[in-house]
Amino acid sequence: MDFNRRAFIGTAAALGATLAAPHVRADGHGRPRVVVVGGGAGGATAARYIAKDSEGAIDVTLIEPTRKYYTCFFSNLALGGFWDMEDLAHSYGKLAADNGINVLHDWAVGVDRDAKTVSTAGGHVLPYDKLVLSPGIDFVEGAVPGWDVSAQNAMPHAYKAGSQTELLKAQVLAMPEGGVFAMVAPPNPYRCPPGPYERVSMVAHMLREVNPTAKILIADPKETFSKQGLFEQGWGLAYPGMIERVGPDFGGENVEVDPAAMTVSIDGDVQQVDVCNVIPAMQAGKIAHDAGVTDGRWAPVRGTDLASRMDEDVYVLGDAAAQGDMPKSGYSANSQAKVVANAVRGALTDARVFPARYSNTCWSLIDDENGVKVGATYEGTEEKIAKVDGFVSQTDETPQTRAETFRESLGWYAAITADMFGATS
Amino acid sequence: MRAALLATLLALPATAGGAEGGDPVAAILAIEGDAAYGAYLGAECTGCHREGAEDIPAIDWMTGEDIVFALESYRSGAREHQVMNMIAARLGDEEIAALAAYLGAAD
Repeated sequence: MDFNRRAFIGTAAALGATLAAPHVRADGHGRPRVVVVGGGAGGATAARYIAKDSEGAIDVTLIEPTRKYYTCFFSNLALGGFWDMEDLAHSYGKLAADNGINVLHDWAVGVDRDAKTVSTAGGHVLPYDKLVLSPGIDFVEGAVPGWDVSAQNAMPHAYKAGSQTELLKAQVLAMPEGGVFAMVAPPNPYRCPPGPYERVSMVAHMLREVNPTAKILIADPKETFSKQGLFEQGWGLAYPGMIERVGPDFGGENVEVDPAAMTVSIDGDVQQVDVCNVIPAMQAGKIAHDAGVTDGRWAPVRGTDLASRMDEDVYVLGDAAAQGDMPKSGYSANSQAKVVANAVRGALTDARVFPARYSNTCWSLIDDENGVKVGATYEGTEEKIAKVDGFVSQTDETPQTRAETFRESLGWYAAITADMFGATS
Repeated sequence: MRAALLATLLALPATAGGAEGGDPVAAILAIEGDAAYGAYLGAECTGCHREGAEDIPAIDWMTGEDIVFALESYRSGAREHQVMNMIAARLGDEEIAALAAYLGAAD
């Protein structure tokens, strides 16, 4: 019902643009059809750029289950009390109204690559000429012994933003005086490399205000982590004595949890904790596996256009892709989406195709007005997305620089969400 | 706001950075920019720059000449900003001219 109405809006909007539309390589069925699965930084951007730049020449359907999308990026700021959950919320109305995209709020449950169709839980079967998969991440079953998704209320992951973020925040606020917040950090590769450590900073920020004798314990399977020097220096200055990290040298990779008893075992040493944030190992979202475009946990793609190694008519971007050197971040997905949009338009219309170029910057907040960043540029090669150049914030920066970096991150949030969902101004 | 930004930009020295020496800004301005290429390259800008913003300054008001001057200043290092120095470092003269042709508002 809703889909039909939106489809009509999309068609009506597209008709107005037909005269100016680029020449189309139609395959006997009218306008070429693109189906995009996943309405996050990768999928929403890809859908918007394909629709916007093809000026109605391509029929674009975006399948996304949620009507209100909470960005994962900046959700740590909600956890830290800097932002409200509603500051993270976005809707898809402008993509339908301004760009003529058919926004279908449904679950994609199957891909038939021979018939070139996507089926949904709601019973739709959508034909495509090109399919764009941007499903984000799922967790690897059994990655943390004792934990599975059914335990996510006792021990939240909060690694998909929304109710999990709110739950974890409520648990932090309900900790007894001097209690323990534990985090089971994920192994590489995973979504948002600095994310767990920004989260520790934000939880520490909250606890410093309401429960200053509380402790934070991180069990980490990784030898090193993103922006490590910046975080560790920041923690020492802003939250002295509060945070302890157990790396693999001391059993940080040998962890079990018991959600019923609220215990964490690190290398056999069982500890009672008050909150336990379990961030398990990750893999590509389920639909990528169902579509048969994964090899192991992730979907291998070409560096030049993010086309699947298994199927020229399927593109996989964002966190789900095994693409090479880019970190799994919202910025990366947004950047990759623009290359995919150009490649898709080139394949389906007479649009010019330009060499792939990508960039990424990840901002993190350590404390009030204390932002840091890491960034890089990348190029597409046949083998992979390859890093060209990069930078990282320095440990000796002035408070003024850190405050500027934080303000810059706020500007980026406003800009990228407008770039994904359509300008709100 | 706009006048102040422009004044800041124009007050910066045009340092040499082009491969052929001379005035690199003038060399880029002499190129006829490929606006379609600029539209593709410009998608990298809109992930951070938005209309009316000051936290990351808006660029929609800039003329093609402003764009060339700003990008060349970041590329040469005359203006310093970690992200913009990195972004501009891999822009050739053709790319800057293309961006100016596409983004330049008031030409």
